[in-house]
Amino acid sequence: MSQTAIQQAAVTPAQKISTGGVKKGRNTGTKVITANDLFSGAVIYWTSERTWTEDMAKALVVSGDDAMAQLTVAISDEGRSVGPYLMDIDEDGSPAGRGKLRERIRDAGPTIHPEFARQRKEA
Amino acid sequence: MYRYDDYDRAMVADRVAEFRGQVERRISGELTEDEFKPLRLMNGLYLQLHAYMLRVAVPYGTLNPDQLRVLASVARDYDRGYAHVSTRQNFQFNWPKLKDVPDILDRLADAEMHAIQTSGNCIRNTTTDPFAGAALGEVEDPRITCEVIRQWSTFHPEFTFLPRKFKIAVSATEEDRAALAVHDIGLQIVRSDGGEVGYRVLVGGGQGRTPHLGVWIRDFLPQAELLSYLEAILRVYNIRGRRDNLYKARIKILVDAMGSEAFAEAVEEAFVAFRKVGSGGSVDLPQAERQRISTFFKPPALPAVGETSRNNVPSNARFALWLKHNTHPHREDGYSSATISLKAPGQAPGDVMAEQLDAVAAIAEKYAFSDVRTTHEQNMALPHLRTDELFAVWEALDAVGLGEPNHGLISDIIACPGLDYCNLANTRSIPIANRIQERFADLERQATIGELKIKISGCINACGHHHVGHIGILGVDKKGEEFYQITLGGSADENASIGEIVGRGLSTDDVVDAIERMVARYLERRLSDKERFVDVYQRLGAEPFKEVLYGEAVAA
Repeated sequence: MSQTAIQQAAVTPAQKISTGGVKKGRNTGTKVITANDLFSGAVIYWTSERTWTEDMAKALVVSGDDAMAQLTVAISDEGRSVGPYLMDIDEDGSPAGRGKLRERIRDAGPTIHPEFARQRKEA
Repeated sequence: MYRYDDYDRAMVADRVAEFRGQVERRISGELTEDEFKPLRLMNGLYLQLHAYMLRVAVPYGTLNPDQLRVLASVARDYDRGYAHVSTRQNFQFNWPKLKDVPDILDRLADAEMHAIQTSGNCIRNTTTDPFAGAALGEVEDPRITCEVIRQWSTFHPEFTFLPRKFKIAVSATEEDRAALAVHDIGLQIVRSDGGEVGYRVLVGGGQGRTPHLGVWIRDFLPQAELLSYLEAILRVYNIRGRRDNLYKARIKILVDAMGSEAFAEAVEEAFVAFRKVGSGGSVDLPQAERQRISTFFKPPALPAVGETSRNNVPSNARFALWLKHNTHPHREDGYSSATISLKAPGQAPGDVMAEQLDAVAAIAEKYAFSDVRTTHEQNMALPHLRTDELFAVWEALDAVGLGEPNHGLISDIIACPGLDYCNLANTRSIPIANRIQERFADLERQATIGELKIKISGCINACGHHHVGHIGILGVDKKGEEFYQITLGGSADENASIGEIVGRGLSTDDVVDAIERMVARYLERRLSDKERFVDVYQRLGAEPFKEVLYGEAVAA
């Protein structure tokens, strides 16, 4: 990154975005797009094929302007999803940031009912 | 209980048909989510972390066995075998599919149930004493008033889009089992010096991020003038309540901003204007209509059995504890009311399995005059039981895991769904409740500690009523980690109080140890086993408990 770009980044904060529920964050770092399935309410993730999966490992990893562009496309897919937003992930693709626990529980199911752990399938 | 007339049946059927069309239009793409969301919420359908959640109204917490069986069938056929009793005495299902919801609502409608007024900025389900109609010292059955309010408020065009949701509770005894003080309106049914039945009226209570105890603005309101007065309160709120800030839109904020005297004056002004309209123009209910509604709440015919039978019970330690903690005095000699605990160890507070609902239905038919209640403390109740049949009732309940003798004890915890289900939560609540239940699993130990109400919320919205817990636990998020802040001295009864925050948050691993240390400190300091935890707190203040909260005192 050029010196000018670094200076611009320092004075222009990353865009404020919804990060699920009532949480807000900034569009920094790597993200995946997640939502709930319109029909079942199940947790789903946006893929590189512009479709949805229940398997977070198959989610498209995005960042920066590309993240916002992909989110715009995902939001327009109203026929299958409800409420897409960008969630933080770390280098190994696991939920990260302030929403880490929330996203882990969304991915795995309620911690109090192991029998209801998610059985993933393509949305 | 209230039975639908043709008008009710048609209204509910039309509503289900309308929602079926709305669901079809959402699925076909004719409706966007922004358009559909307010429609589904008006039919009790939320979208939570993992699935949709359907909240079913249980007006004033009264159910019959047929309705229980229908709820059980919904849990089996459309959910994952269980349902949940909420803190507004309603039922919730955590896993319905969108396309199934109209069918669920149809099935509920056949049993005279619906999901109206369970969401949105309207007047929500009016709650009351779970022992209504049975309680010793009751002025009259408060469910008559609740039903009058239900009929007045359902689809009331003026109050369909209030600044925020609006909650009313009614009680008819000196002991408050309906948490009046933390409601937008609390009505206590009282008798005047002259013997006339009327209401003492409280406004502006509530929990959430700015807890307030309500203030009494009318010492006596004649029964016949109830709806004019309620309409006056709602009119003032609807016109003057804030709509610019979600967090400042509840009536408690308005009452606080105006001052309770000015608010009461504004209500009186509107009230006088309504009353001037006179009969035919006033919204007050004609006495004949009130009389008609009251006939639905005629108590069951209770054969005389005398008062000798309570002592004729088998020797069984667990039953003896249930008798002590889960039964309550009934207005008739020889009868008792009982709380069915939905707080068995390891269970999510308020959860009940389909087969348990079926069992309660059968028990209610055999022993309880087919009358079942839900409680705002996430339990169920049987208001009318022969005292000499209590052992048989408890045995039948215990056989299906519903005989836990812990009502009002440390394991009888209110907990919101928390981050295991809720889209708004910051932290989990249910696992904390389960850990406390596990630590204090010994029933004799619980009985020694006596009444101790722990209430847990997974965020500041306070759905777990932590502000009014003797010990309140509020989950807070700190950079993605769960912490729990403790409040002490809250109470939701007739001596209501808001708990005091006693220090910085505790980690998940520390919170149960902290509770145990505070309980030990209470046992050291109480003057007798009659002095409850909250009594000791009120006598000594928070300091003795703060000393042990983080373990320093133990280490010293």
